[in-house]
Amino acid sequence: MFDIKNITMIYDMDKAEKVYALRGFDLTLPDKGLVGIIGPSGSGKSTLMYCLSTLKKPTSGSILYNGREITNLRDSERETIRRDEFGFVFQRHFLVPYMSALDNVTVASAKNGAQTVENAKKLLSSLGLGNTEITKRPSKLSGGQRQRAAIARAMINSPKVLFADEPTAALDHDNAFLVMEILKKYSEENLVLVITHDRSILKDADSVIEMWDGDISAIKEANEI
Amino acid sequence: MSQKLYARTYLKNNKKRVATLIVSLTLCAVLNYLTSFLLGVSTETVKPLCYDVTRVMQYVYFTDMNKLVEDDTEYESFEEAMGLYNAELEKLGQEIENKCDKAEKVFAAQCIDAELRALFASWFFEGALMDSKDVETYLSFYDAKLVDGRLPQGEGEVVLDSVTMKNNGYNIGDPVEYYTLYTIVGVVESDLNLICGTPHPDDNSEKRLFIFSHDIKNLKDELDKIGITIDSEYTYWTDYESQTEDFQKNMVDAIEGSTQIVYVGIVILMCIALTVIYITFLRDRHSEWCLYASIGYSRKAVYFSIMRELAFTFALSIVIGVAVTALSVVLIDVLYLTPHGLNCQYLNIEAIKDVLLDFLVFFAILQLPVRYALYRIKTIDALGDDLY
Repeated sequence: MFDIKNITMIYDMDKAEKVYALRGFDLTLPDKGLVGIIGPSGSGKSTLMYCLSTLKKPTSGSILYNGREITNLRDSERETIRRDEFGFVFQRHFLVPYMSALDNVTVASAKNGAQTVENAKKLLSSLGLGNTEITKRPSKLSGGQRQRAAIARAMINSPKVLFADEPTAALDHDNAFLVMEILKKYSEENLVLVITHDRSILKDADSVIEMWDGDISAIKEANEI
Repeated sequence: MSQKLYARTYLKNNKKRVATLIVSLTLCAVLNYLTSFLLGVSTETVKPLCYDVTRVMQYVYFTDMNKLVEDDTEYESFEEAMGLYNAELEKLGQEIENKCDKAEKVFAAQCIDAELRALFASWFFEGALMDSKDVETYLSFYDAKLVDGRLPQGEGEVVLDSVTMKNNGYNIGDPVEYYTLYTIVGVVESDLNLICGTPHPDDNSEKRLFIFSHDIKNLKDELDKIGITIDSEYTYWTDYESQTEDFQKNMVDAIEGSTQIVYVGIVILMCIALTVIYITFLRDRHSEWCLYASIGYSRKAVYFSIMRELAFTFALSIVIGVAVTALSVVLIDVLYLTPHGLNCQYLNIEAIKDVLLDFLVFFAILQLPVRYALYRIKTIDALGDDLY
């Protein structure tokens, strides 16, 4: 799915003391499966996710997505690929406060119409949000319910890649377990990249990439986790 | 990507904010239209006096009596001099009536005036004091019919038209002051404002000429044709041309100046208020738009969704503004203007154009904070704490 070559990301390029977020490494990611990216704060795991998802452009190196170079795309092409191919689950849910859970999901849909609303309802229902909850605004939902609404928003376009940045950080143990179960199920057909510093949630991952100071320190397969 | 960001999601979920904008815009539209409407009451009320009355009646008097009575004799009393002047004026009146084909009737009579009070201005108009037997003839030129009280019979009695009665709050039996006190004895119905009556023995003022004609536009020219010269240095006269010019200069232009000042003031204040309010709303949505950018919406898509929201807000404001303005105008007219004998014009095309122009200006000005908000859109790493 992703073929990464010698990727570097340098912040503060103009300053004397440059900050290397990614130090130049190669990486290949599969078409499907749950892949964890783990490491302490500042290790470069979020920057890697931003580069893979076209939210940031790396300073140098190449990222091939299904054989297509995505580091030099125009803004409109990057927007299209994010809408059509990728889904995002963020650490703090990032739900729009004035919208219901249902509206928060449909707003991300690549299609219009009643069918989209039905799909969103089904998706939310499959994630455990009933008819009452989906009409509530985020402020009236629990942390777990918000995160499930955020996951539904990420999944509404059935993305080939789902990026999840610290998806369980704001959740209690039970909700964290539930969210990871959902992501694991989705990874059966698609690629799910989970960024975390919590190793315990990656026990069911197909592989785990360990990062340290902008570089990959280890890649562990399922049987090594 | 066929998907677009719907404006209705924001509009239906942010009713208070949308209502704030709609109320502000509606208020501006209503204020601007009502300003034009109320200032226009003055012109609409006075206009018939200047345009319609002078189509029927022109009047003239000599500010320098010596120009009419060329005599070096020293008179023993003012009354004697006045008597001579009045006699000369009557002769002049007779001459005009005989020689000027367009003059249907000329009255040499003492004058009384009445005031027509508009909201922000007033205008005086003149009427004749004559022998009671001539009153009906005088009224016939105004197509006036007695509707209440009686016609003047004794000394110092007057009748007025119903609009002027209402405008001044007069009732039959009330006094009208002009050099001395006259008593209102009747009300006439006429399309034109009028006052006329019988002279008062205490009023020694000079007579004037009241010339009735439906064809004279320029009195000076008409009198020139029959060899009578009047000049503004020693004569004052009213006719269609002089009155309309006077009306344009002293009423329309003056009111227009005031209207423009109030209008520009309202627009500037509303521009500032709207921009401040709208910037606050936009600031609160920064993270929302950063989220949209992160999940693949372009700035253009965000911009068009904002424009759709604004367009709906402006359109609804116009609809509500029209309804509120129409209701206000009718209520003001029914409850205040008509009972006070004031005229108004409901439909003011110029004011409507101004209000629509205001909305265009507001729409254009709000583009600035919108453009700035779009410029500030980043992606995921700029998302703030205002999303759940």
